[in-house]
Amino acid sequence: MTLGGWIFMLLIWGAILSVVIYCYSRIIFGADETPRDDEGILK
Amino acid sequence: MEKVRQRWGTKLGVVLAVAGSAVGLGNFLRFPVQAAKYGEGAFMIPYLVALVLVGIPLMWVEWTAGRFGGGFEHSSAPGVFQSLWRKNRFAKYLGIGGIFGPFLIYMYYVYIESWCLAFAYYSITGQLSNITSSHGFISFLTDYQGLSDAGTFAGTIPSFVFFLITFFLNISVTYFGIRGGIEKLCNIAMPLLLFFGLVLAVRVITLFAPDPLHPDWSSINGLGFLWNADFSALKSAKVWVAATGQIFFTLSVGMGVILTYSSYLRKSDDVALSGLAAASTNEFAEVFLAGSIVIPAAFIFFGPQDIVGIAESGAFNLGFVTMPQIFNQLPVGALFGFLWFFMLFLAGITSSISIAQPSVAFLEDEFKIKRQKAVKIFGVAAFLLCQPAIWFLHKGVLDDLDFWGANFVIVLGATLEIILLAWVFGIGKAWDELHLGSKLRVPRIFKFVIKYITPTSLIVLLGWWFATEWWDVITMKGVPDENIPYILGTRLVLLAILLLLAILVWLAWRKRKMKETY
Repeated sequence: MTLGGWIFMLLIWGAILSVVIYCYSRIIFGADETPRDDEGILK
Repeated sequence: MEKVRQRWGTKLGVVLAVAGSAVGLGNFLRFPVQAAKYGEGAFMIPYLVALVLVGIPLMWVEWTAGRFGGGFEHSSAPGVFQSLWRKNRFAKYLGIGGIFGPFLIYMYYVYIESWCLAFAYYSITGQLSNITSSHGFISFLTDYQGLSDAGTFAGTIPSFVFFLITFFLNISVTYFGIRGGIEKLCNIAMPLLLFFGLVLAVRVITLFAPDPLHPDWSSINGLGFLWNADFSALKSAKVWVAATGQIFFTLSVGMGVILTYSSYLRKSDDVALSGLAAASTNEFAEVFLAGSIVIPAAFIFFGPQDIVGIAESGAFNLGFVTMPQIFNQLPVGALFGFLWFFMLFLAGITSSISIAQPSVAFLEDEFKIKRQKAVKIFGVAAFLLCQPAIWFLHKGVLDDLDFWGANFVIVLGATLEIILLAWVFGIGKAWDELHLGSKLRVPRIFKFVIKYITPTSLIVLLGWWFATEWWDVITMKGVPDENIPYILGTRLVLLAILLLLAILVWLAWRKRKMKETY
């Protein structure tokens, strides 16, 4: 496996894992404190 | 008394259910085939570009449209489409594909899923361990399917028994509803599936280079086959089309399933973060797990030359012939074989219960039939219509159903869906709807992507496939003469189902209109 291959693989694995961890941590633990307008749409 | 609408129990539950729908047999069988077919390093860059420009936007579109339609008590595509385009009374008919497509896929998918359960059983009981050659595995598979008769099985009885067990499990889960059946199963099956996948991936990667005669046939070089980017392949239109197609199939978008699942959300429930969570779970299973199991394993045991040939021999060959052959060469191979096939079974069942839901939801919402009764009606119809794929497998019926269900209908469905939401309903309103109750601010660039890039990509994909692949299938080019009556018969049955659905939609809205009048 080339150095470029390693970098590419680790970059994409890292990106996917980061998104998975971010999403599930917000779904499971995240309190919703985002500012919204009267209709509940994110400001 | 007014019926109480079904709802998901938890936010995690709905995300796992949608992810369960997306993570299916295609993740572990179709992805490695596509990734290997075009040679070393050709696939991943187009695949990841398509994920960002087509897959994730379509995921958000379906979640948004489904929750919007759910607000009008509609859980299937005809009702959702009519809610999005209220001025046009024909909009509901555009959504028929959202029931027809999943039902059609159900007609053969449950049967394939039952093969996984059967092979998990044959692995753990050691029956696969006795087979030593590639030819032996092919003979075992074709005997099981009833395509050959080498005397391994008593006709098609074992395969039919496993089908009955699988079908019964599917219908039972659907019977217990959104929260009591689907959500409960996915809460257990999805973590289990990911755990099995992780165990298999670690096992394959830690094999390193087991053959001293071929020290370069290692698991790390197997990963390199996928990840050593070949920039010259970016010039090939075929790779781009294949990568976009794979993204499309893997995320279960366009078939109406996510529309139905997200229709059970409340107006204030998030869809942007949940959609991204479901898509990323699917990518974890596909890129991280399937990419680390199948391709490195095949590379270690067959080398860089044969891996393309294996991929070209198809997904079933890879899953049911090559993989067990590899597991047989490992210590405690029977256990790893079991984990592989049971993981496929879990991936299959979490998808098949989702493709049953649009039909059941249509009967429940548009005809006010109680869920249990709706599931019974669906169960009888599905059981009868599953039979051609089982008994006429050798006549090419399953392949034809797969073409219409998993290719034609869902691509058309997704194209219609995104045009309806982004152009007819309006991208401005759709953008607000996506962010209603949202826990994530989607980057503004996706407003442009959803309106222009994704629909254009889908139209190009439709045109390309129509010109290069579909026309030959539609005109039955290359179908042996003795199979033509069976293929024609299948298509007539499909046409009849389509017609019946159109009549049912007409009846449902007529009933609704009469109720509103009086």
